[in-house]
Amino acid sequence: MKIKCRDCGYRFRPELYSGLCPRCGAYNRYQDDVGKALKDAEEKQNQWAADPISVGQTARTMKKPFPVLLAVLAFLAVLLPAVAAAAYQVWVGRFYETALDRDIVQVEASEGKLTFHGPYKHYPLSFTLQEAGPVDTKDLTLPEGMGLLAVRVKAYCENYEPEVSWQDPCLKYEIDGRICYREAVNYYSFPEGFFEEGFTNEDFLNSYFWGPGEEEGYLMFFYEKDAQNMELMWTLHRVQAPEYADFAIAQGYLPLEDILQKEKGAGQ
Amino acid sequence: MKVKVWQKGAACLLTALLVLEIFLLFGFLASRKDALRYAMEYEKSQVEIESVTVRNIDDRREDYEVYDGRRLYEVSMTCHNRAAYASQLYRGIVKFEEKGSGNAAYSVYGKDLGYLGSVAYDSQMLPAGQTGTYRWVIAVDEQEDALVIRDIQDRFAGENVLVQVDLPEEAGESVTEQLD
Repeated sequence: MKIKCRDCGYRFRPELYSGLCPRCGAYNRYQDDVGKALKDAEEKQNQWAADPISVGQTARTMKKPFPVLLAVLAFLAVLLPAVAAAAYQVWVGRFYETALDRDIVQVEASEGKLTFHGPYKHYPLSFTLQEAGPVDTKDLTLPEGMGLLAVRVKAYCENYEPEVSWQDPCLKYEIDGRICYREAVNYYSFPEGFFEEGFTNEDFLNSYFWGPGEEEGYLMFFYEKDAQNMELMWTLHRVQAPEYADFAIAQGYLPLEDILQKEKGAGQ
Repeated sequence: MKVKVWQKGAACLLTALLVLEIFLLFGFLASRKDALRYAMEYEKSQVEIESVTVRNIDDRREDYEVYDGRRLYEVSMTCHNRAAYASQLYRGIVKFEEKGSGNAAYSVYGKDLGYLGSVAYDSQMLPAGQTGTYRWVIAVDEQEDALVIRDIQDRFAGENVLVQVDLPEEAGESVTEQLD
């Protein structure tokens, strides 16, 4: 850009003549690019000294930089628990749907043998009644009208299936028109010396037997002596991810009446 | 723009809160099995009561260990287990309360029963998806006129009463409450 000489008024380009007028030789001050850059730097330094944060920000964020950051943080701090709580409710709701009122396959025994085999159990699992009868409770005091029942059962499974397990069976019976269920009593519930010498925990049926092969042992239950239609009832469970809960998939019933009558007849 | 001290403090606090929330969230996700168990036990009952019968058996008090000033009752409760796993009510899903004081009624066992006698009482259970009857013998203070059976989740809330049954005063009498 041309400037006008302050002595003779001649117009010339100062950057070509280092500010000296080509007509009269007088020196004229002018601002070149280096000078402009130096001046900008000087201005910025002054600005930084006054407000260090705003230097280097874009025009958009320089207006409200920190309140925006605070608002974003506050929003996330509130939003995260809210989203987590909502997700938990949905998740638990889905769990209830799958855990409650499920279809459980009901299996009936045939000739003293109960077999679980189907889409829910690839390798057949069977329970066969060996013997059953009341146990002499000796000097133990039980509630009035109650007795102790022992059942010997043989379990057989072709192969092990890690995702399918079975619980200790329960004893189902009817009394006065109502149905009762009782869980099996384990060996360690009985006082020392109750069983004959040599009869140990090993003689009880091991509920951790899931195959392959066979396992035989006793199950013991408390029952009411006036009970009728006694049955052993097994429940098969399947562990289901991602809930990691054992869901019942099948239940089977093994009637005890026949074998109890037979034992009673043999006893007489 | 100059940042104020309170803004810096707020930013630090919010950042710390966010980090804590993320930490807790990961912890929760890692223990979701326990979380589900908690939810199933305390948030929603898996057992529905269908009917309750309370019978006064005070004429059999000689057979039980019961203090004077309390009456003996036999409670028969028929329930349906909606869940896909077994339930043992006596282990804490249901508790009895007297209507007036709010204190638990007392489970009573027969006289001279040892540990095995208690096991015999407590071995009742309800398999997955089945309907069955539980039976207890309880003792209730004589001034009480009703029995409330609550879900244990009400231990603190005091709501969600499942069923209330009037207590028969004469020995041999029974009252049945049928639920829809």
